[in-house]
Amino acid sequence: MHDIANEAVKFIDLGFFSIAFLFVVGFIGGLVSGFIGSGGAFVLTPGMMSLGVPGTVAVASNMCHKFPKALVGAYKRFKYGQVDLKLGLVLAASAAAGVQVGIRIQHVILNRWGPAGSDLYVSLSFVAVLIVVGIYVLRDAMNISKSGGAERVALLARKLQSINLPPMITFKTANVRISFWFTLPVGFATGMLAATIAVGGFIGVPGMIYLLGVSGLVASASELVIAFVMGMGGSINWAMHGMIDIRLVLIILAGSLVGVQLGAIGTTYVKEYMIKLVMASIMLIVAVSRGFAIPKYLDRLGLITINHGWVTIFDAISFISMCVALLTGAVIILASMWKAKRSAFVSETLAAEAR
Amino acid sequence: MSNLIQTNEKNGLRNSRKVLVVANGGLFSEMLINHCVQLTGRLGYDLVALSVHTRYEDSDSQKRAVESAVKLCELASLNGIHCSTMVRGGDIGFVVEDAIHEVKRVEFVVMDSETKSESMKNISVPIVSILSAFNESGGNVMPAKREFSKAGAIGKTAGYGLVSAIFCAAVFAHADTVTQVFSRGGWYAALPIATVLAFSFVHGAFAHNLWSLLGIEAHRSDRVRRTEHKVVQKRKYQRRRPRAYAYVNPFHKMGL
Repeated sequence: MHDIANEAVKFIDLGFFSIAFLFVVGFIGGLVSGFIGSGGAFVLTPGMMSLGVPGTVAVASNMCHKFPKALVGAYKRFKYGQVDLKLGLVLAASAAAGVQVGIRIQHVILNRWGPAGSDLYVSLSFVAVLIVVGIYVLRDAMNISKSGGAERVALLARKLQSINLPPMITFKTANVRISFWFTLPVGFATGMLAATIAVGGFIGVPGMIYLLGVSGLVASASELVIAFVMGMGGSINWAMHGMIDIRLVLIILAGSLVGVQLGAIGTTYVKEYMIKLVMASIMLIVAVSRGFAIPKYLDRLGLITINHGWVTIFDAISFISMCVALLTGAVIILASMWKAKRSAFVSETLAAEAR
Repeated sequence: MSNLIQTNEKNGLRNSRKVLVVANGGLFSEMLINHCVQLTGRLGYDLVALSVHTRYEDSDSQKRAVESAVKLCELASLNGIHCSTMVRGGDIGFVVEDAIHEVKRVEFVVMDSETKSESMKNISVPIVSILSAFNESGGNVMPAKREFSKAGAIGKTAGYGLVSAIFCAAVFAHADTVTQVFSRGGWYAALPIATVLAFSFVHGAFAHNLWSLLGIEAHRSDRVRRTEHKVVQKRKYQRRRPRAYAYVNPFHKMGL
């Protein structure tokens, strides 16, 4: 295994294009994850693989860049008073269990249906989870936007908070008191999704918002703590197998550490529902992107037959739409930051309203 | 400017209690803004920002005064407080007294402790002085925030950037050896982990200073936001005050 990694590492051609690509994707991924708590990983892994990096090295290097990025983002947002450390650590503990179960399920599917079956399972999970959660988050963001921008605690979360099932935990920054037992499924699902599609935040953040009643701002910031804990554990594991290509990690980090800080700063400018809006937009576009990958895996499993040309086209559409997802998120973040920066115009409107 | 005059005209129509915030020289200090917004939020009063400048000041100063007043109003509006702005020229004492009569129901005046005028003694409402962050020559006496030094920021950014670049150069110059040693597995796993942590510290500090240098810094702390919500809720609650009714027969509900 070590030899394979070394061979692979030696023969990667890190030309100007590769370095620029990794740096830019790292920056945009960092910007998005500083803002919504996760993101970037879904483009980086396939991106690195398209540059010729073996799958395992791509996954390992991606994870190794994720935890320092999450650390810097969490630290920055902690300073803004947005991180609930206790919430992050409690969820990270149950997420660790979720990761283990997720990996087991992957192994079972891999043994039974082979790599194509495993890829199909991953893509179907992507599409199913992201469409359901994405539409829900988008609808919520739209409603908040229409009703004037104030976030309300979801009905389900309020009901769960009212159930007194010991041990009850108080999360001060999140301003939530809820039973430990209700935090378990959120953390577990986050871990399971992280093990399956590498972006646990797509279920962790909505879980915190709609099940635990945490605000979007605190949820996305605390997700960075979960990402750090899980990323660090995963990276140590990959490093012990010698799968991390430190050069790739440093290039991505060079971009993402700059981006993550901008994303974190961005959260202090925009209205809270913007976090939900960015997250939902990315989730839905990524779901479409993974949807285009499904026919290829169905073909490999022999369930349908499609032309090889179509597979190539679908692959290209899938990768481009993933990049579009990330870019869309980045554009929304930067545009809303820019809008908030030009607060002179806004203040004139507010002053006019006050009249 | 004409908008501000309209603001002033319509302001008299609101019959709520008000706090008049006065800035001499046209600029509201950060400390004054924060104090007034929080105070009016707690009391449930409205805010009137009065920016006073001397008549011979140039148009730039007037523009700055308007901007400063609008900034105060923006923060107040975010906290759910009604705010209007006024810009006036002349002696501060007369201007403040005129404003009090003009806007009606001014409970008290808030101003910088540095705003001194003999005529201020004749103001008909109580005056609250806030310890100013500025001395008379315009320098910072007691800065609420660390003063941003551009030279220092450039030095720090360049320093961390250089260390970060050296770090990368060192790894890439010996890329083959480094990747080979780092991917040995086992206890060698500590090497990539320690490297990325060290790099994230150096490069993170570089990125932080870079954004500061470019003027992109956090807009407001979350603490302010939470206050916002609380104040908005409080004000809504206060608006549902029961009215007092006068009855011809005060015992009509007692069944007498």
